[in-house]
Amino acid sequence: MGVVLKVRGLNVWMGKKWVLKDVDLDVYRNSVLAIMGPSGSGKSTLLRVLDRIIELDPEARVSGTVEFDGRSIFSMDVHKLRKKIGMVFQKPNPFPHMSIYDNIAYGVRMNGMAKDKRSIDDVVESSLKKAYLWEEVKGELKKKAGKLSGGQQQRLCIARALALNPSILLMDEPTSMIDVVAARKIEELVVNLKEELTVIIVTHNPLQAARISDYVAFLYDGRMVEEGPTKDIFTNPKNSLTEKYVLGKVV
Amino acid sequence: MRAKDLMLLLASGFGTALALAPLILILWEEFTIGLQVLMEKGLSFLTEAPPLPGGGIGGIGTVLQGTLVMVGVGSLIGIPIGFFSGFYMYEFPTDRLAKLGRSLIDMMVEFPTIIVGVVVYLLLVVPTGRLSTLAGAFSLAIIEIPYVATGVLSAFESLPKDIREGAYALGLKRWEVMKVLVGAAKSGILTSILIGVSKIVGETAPLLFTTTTSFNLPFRSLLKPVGAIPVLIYIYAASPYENWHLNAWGASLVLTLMILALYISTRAFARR
Repeated sequence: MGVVLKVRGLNVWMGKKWVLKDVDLDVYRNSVLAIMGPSGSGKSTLLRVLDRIIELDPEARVSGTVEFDGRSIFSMDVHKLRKKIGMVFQKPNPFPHMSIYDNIAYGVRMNGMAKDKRSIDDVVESSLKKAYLWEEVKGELKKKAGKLSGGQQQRLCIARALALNPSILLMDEPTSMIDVVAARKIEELVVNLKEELTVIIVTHNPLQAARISDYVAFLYDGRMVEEGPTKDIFTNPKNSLTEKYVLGKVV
Repeated sequence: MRAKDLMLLLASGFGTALALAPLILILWEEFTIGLQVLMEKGLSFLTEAPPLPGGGIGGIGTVLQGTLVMVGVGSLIGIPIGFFSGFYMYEFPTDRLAKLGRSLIDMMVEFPTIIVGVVVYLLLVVPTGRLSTLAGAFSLAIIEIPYVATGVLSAFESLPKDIREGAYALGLKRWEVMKVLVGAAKSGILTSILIGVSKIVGETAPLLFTTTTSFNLPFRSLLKPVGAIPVLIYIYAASPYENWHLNAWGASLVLTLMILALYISTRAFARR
C-alpha cells in the first residue's frame, strides 16, 4: 500500500480568507479516504486543490506541495492531471442537454481514449456497469441526462469520471443531495471501486465515513486535526475534538 | 378595501389599454393599407424596382436585396464578435478587459444608433470617398454586437456553474468546455442572435449615412451602395407623391412581417 498522494504544508486563501492552514495528508493507494469535518472546515477546498479545479476560482491562492505518484501536481499538465484524478460533485451535474451515452462518450472522445464507435460503446457500457447504472438505463441510452432522477444523475457523473480510467476519484459529498436509497447504492459502489482506484470522499456524516472508509482525515477550521485508519479514529481518537465529532457533539 | 382593489384593477387595466393603443393603431393602419398594396401587386411587389414619382406602385425588389445583404453581412460580422465577447466576459470575469466590457455593454445597447452611422461615415465612407453596402453592413454589425454579447453572456450565466466545473474536471480543454456550454445554453444563445438580427432589420438611422437613397439601383457589389427598406420608407413616406406613399405602406408591412417572423422564431427557441 504505497502513498499515491502526498500533501505537505498546504495553505489556501480564498480572497482574504485563510481556508486551509498547513495541511499535511497521505493518501494510500486502493483505499477509501473520508475527509470529515463540519461545514466550513475546508473539506471541499482541500478536494478542489487535488485536481486543481480550484484554479477556476480567480480568488483562490494556493501554496504548499501536493505530489501525485511522486510528481508535483502543479508542474503537471492540468488536463492530464484531471483525467487521472476524476471528480464527482455534490450536486449532480451531468451535461443536461446531452444523452446518457454522450455524457460519457464526450470526455472519452475529447481525451482521445477511444475512437471507433465499437470501443466507445464498450467504455460507455463498462463505466455504467461500474457505476451501478447500466441495468436501469441500458434500453434508453439516447435519453437526455437531464431527465434522469437525482440519484441516477449522480451515478451517471460517476460513470462519466470512471470512463477516463482515473487513478483517483474525488467525491464531494456525493450523497448529500439525493435520497437515502440512492445514497446507499453509491456507498456500495464506492467500496467496490477501491479494487481499481483510490477514492477520496468528503462527508459531513461520521456514520457514512465509518461505513465506507479505510482512512479518515478530520479537518476543523482549516486545520488537519487528526488522520489515520478509520477504526483507530472511531475507537481510539487521539484528539478530544475528533472524539466529540465522531460522537456527533461538534457540528 | 374592495373599492380600492377595484380602482387598482381599473387604473392598471386602463393604463395597459392606453399603452397598447398606439401599437394596435399602427398595426391596423399598416395592415389595412399595406395589405391592399400587397394584394394588388402580389409577389411582384418583392421583385420590381421602386417606382418613379407619379408612376405606379412598383415594388421593393432592390431595397429588399439591400436589406437582406446588409443584415446578412452585418450579422456575419456582428454575431461571431458578439458571441465571442459574450463568452470572454463569462469565462474571464475578473479580467480587466472583461470587466470593462461588462460595464460598457449595457450602455452600448442604449447608444443612439445615428451616432454609429456618423462614426462609420467618418471611418469608412469619407476615406474611401463613397457610400457602400459594406459600410451599411458594418454599421448594422456595430449595433448588433452588444445585443448578441449581452444575450450570450446571460445565456451562459443562467447555466449552473457546476456544469462548467464538471466539464473542466473531465480534463477538457477550454474550447471543448465551450462546446459543452454552448450546447447547454443553445436556446438562450439562438434567442440572443435572433434578437440581434431583429434589432438591425428595422434600423434606419445609421443607414442614412452609409447607403444610397437611389432606390432603383440593385445590389451590385459590397463596395457599391444599395438601398434598404427602412430608409425607403423614411424617404417615400415623407414625399409628396401618392404612389410613393402606397409603396412605403407595402414596404412597412413586409418589414413588419419579417420582424414578426423573427420574433415568433425567437419565442419558439426561448420556450425550448
